[in-house]
Amino acid sequence: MKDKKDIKLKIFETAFEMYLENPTQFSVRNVAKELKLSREQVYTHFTSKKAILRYFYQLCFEEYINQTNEIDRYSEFTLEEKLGHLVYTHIELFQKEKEFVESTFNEIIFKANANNLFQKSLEKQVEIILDTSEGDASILPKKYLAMILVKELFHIFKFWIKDDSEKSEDTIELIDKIIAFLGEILSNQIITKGIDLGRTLWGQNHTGLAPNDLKFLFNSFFNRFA
Amino acid sequence: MKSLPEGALIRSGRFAKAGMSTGGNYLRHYLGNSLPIKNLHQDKRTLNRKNAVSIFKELSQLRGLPLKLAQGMSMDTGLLPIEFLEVMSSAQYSVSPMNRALVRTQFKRNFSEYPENIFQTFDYDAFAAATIGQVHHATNSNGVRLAVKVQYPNVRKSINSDLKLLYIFGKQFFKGKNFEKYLDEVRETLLEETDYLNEGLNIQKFRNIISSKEIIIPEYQESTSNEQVLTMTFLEGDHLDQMLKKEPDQNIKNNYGQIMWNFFHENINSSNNTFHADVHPGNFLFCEGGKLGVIDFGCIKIFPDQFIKSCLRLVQKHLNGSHQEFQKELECLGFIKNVSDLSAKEEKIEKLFSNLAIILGSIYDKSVFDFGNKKFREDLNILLRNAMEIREVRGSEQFIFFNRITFGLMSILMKLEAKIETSEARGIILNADC
Ligand SMILES: Nc1ncnc2c1ncn2[C@@H]1O[C@H](COP(=O)(O)OP(=O)(O)OP(=O)(O)O)[C@@H](O)[C@H]1O
Repeated sequence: MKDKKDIKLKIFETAFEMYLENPTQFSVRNVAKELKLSREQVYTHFTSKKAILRYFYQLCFEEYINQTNEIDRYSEFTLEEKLGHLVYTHIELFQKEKEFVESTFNEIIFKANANNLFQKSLEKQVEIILDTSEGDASILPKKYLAMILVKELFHIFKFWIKDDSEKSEDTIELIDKIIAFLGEILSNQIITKGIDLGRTLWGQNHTGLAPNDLKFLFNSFFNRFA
Repeated sequence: MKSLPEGALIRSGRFAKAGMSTGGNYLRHYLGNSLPIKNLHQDKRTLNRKNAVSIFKELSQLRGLPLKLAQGMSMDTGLLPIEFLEVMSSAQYSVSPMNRALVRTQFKRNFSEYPENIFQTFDYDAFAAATIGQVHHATNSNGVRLAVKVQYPNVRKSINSDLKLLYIFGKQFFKGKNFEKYLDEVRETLLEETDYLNEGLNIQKFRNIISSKEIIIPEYQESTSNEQVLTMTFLEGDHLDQMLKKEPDQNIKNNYGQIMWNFFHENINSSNNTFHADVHPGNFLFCEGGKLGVIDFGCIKIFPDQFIKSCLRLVQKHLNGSHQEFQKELECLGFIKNVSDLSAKEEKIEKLFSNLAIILGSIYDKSVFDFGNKKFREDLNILLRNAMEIREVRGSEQFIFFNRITFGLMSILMKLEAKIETSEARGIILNADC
């Protein structure tokens, strides 16, 4: 079992480096050749060329889980802190390979089939976070809410990719505000922090933000009171 | 509501609140356009003061900043109308602290490590709020207690946009165009304060300048500091209010007051013209053994030689009782326009300064001055209220800080009701070479 994982990792690492060096050189054939494997052997670990690259994101997610387990009193974190931790940690990990994320995220994650492992893992994790935290998230079923939040998270990642502020300060601020805002929505106190968020979004020109998913969230929210 | 238009997020959240506090008209007004600042520009004449203030309150991003501006500017002889002050200092301005996840990532991004890997212990719950950040307890590997100040994300941008707002709202209250110049000075200082490395250097600088054994200054910890995180040793002591609650003896209060008084007058005497320019009670700790802890060196001001000299000349002229020369100095400093031909308004301003000189001069009249003196306090209050009415910005922008220092010191000494030996200070001023 461990062996299998090792080979998988080897394949990924080789592919990753190949891709960084020259994306056009990167192919399953070349990766297999480099590792002295057959293409079929590679395909037993990954379903496609893109899947190999996508494994990067899965590894980040796993690292995030590891780091979470190392936090002393993680269980005492509030809903907002847990969500914040999830987003910040991914950004920190992405930061190390920003070029790679820049060139791949849109293609292999954002536009990809929502059934990919990374997206599913995130959704599952967000669902767990929603489940284990207090607060009334009863507007929508948790599972559905988790899907929406992960999609929103992807928009944040896209925002971060374009963010050229120093140390990505704009993104960090945005995350803080969005999460505070979500926290409020989830506990039905929409008005208190919305103002700050609105200002941040406005200040940042809200490129790619306020997507349909959130619109939907707001609609559901407002319909409850309309 | 059928469906929300584009930018729903912005409108629903922000304007729900702005609408609530300023009434339906504004809500309608803003819903038409997603760029509120533009609107404010266009319609500024129709905005009445109350609404302007409450919108500023809503839109201002840094909770601490308006309060700080208010504190500072109110001391600057009434640069802010009373309504601004009230709104800004209201309790609603308390900051919502950075949560643990955010503090963690601020460290990680700045030091590539989480706080628990940098310090022996680190308390994620901040023990104090700062204007643009929050302060945490920590200990280093030697068990030394530390205070770690962590900055909020994106503070520089917020300062710029907040000041833009303040400028828009403030313009209508001040006739003199100088208002912009003053705000620029404030902006520059605030931006300087966002660089914690700079504050670290200031701490070291002051440790070198201050020779008094009665003053304690924290030790800067360079290896765990950068632009957004400032680590220094923790000073154990009470804030002014806490100390006064313990009802200390008069001589204890006199002692603290005297240390503070000397601290500022020594600055005059030294050749480096360097002043701690953020004189408010939060920045002083009353420590064991009658020592005074000075913290927060984010704002120190190095005045130009010329400026210090002309201020000293003004005070000298007054203390020597030569009123005509005093007036001349006022003219030189740009406070009054033409001494030989005073209009009613200029006369009012001249009177204001003469009165100020008389009140402040009385401190030096006898060898001991009692800051508990009720009449002194009342006179000063009346004077400041009169100054408020003028609402015009005059003189060098250095005066923002000069006033902040002077009135900050006065107000602390009055709270202490300290009796202060002033003859030495009088000597310093009269003998100063200017
Ligand atoms: N070295 C220290 N030892 C003990 N307490 C400290 C120390 N540094 C800061 N504090 C506490 O944190 C508070 C805020 O710190 P500081 O004054 O440096 O922040 P600031 O942002 O400059 O605030 P302001 O400009 O409003 O004074 C202080 O009032 C004090 O209670």
